[in-house]
Amino acid sequence: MDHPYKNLEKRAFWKSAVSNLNPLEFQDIYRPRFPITQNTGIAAAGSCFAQHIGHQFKNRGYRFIDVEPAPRFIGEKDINRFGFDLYSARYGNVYSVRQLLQLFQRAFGLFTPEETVWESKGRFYDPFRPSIEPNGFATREEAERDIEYHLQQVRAILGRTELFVFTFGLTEGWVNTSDGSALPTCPGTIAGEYDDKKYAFHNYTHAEVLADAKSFIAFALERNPNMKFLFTVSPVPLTATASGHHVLPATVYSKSVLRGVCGELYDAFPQVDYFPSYELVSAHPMRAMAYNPNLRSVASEGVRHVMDVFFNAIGGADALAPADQPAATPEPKSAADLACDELILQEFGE
Amino acid sequence: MNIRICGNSHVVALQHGYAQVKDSGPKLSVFPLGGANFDNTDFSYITPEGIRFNVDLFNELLERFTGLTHIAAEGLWGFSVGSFFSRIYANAYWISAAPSAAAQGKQRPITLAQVEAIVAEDQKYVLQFYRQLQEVGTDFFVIIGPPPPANYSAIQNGTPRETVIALEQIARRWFRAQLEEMGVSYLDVPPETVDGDGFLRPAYKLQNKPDGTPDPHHANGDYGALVMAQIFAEIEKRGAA
Repeated sequence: MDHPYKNLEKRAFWKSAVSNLNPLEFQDIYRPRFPITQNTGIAAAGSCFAQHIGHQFKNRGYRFIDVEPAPRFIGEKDINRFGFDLYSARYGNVYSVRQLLQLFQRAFGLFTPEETVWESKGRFYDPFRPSIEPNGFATREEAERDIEYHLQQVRAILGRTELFVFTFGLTEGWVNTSDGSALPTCPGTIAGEYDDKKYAFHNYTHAEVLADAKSFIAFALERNPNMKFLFTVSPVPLTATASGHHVLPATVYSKSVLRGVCGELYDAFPQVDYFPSYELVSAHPMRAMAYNPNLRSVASEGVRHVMDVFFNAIGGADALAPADQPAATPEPKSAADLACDELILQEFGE
Repeated sequence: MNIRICGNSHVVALQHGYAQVKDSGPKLSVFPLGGANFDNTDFSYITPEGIRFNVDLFNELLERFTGLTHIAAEGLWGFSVGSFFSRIYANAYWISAAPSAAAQGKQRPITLAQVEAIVAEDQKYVLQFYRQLQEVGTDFFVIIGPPPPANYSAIQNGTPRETVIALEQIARRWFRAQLEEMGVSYLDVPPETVDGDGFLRPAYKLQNKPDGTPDPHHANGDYGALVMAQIFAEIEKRGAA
């Protein structure tokens, strides 16, 4: 009898799959577990790297769900500045699975944080989306209305989503000790005021991340039994660690936990797929070529490469991007505008 | 000194008003440059001779009424360009959305900063035009247009009146703040023409266009006469008469 390694495919061997190849030409590194087509309803959340994924789906003409689009007429430069068009709702970066789970539980009325608005110098901030409104909200009421509307929209996501894409970002986070609310950033950095009696650092363990991810999957499947999940791990290292360790081992620990959880989720759930964006950027055969010189942010060429691998694998490399589609018919001038021209003509025309 | 009052369709009211009060003020010319529908396009640029327009109609009318091909540092100008905010709130989008403080029922609340960003996007080329005038050294002031009437078509079509007036007031406040920051003088809406809610009083609304059809939102000659009084005062203040 042949031993198990005897008839393995080339992709199973380091030499044929990695060392003998240009790292930009690795073959068969991702095999989609289920079909993803342009008609698949796709929602996304996660750390900042997930923004690239959402944009790529949209730019390639996929049915990307956005339940909280930018208000009409807002300028192009302001769309992302106000946190629109980044994810499937205006929830900003969701770095931890605990934050994701609590976000959806809150949207369904199953979790209520004690602290819902921060005030600072007469402006008001959402602790769970501290940078979503640059310079904060004008009043507490405005903040509360926006949060209420936002959560209503988030509630609509699960029912419409066929594929939920989540990019695991960090294990390190900050929690409100009174109720365990997971915050996206340390109070006092973007907004809020740091108070060591109210907030505590927490580095989520493998067991915690796994349990939270399983809870989210169960929560989502309960509301949409046909939903599938595509998980990735962000290749973006920690900006800083509060763990007391050097930031490099702290980053490797964090990413290792997240990668390990994704592997375990893949094995446990047939509805879960894993795409190796983390490996395609940060694994050592890539020689850090996808990073910018700071070795932290991912260069646009790196993002493009990762997404090309993904879309090639799902058969969507030739998907029609909106830019390639025929231009929409321009809107006619409004009746008011026409009236103005007409009035001038009648009054001053020769 | 040449004193010229020009701009969008609001100059029709100013022209009618001037006809009523011209004997009480300095001689000036009132003429249109074109519709406010060009406000949100890149409608002007600077040349060595002064400001020229990217809109042929603007250039044609400027030349026809002044003999000039450019706006330069000559004379005194009053511009009714910009502050045509109905382009924003005339859209049916505002049936289902509103500035947060005015949102009611199922209307999506839009934050003040976002509404201001919408106004800024709509008026960016207007402010660019005023910056160009400053750069060229033109002596000018701005005439802010009137608010909508209470029977404005968007309200009749289902946009809550609270939404329309909230948008109008945010836009107007933002526009004034920008002019002040730039150091541009402006003439605001005569207070007696506005009702308690902020709408243009019916007595100052143009009822019909010259062809007899109903006019949707312009002010009339009585309104224009009040603004002309402001204009005369501004001219006197500047010693330009």
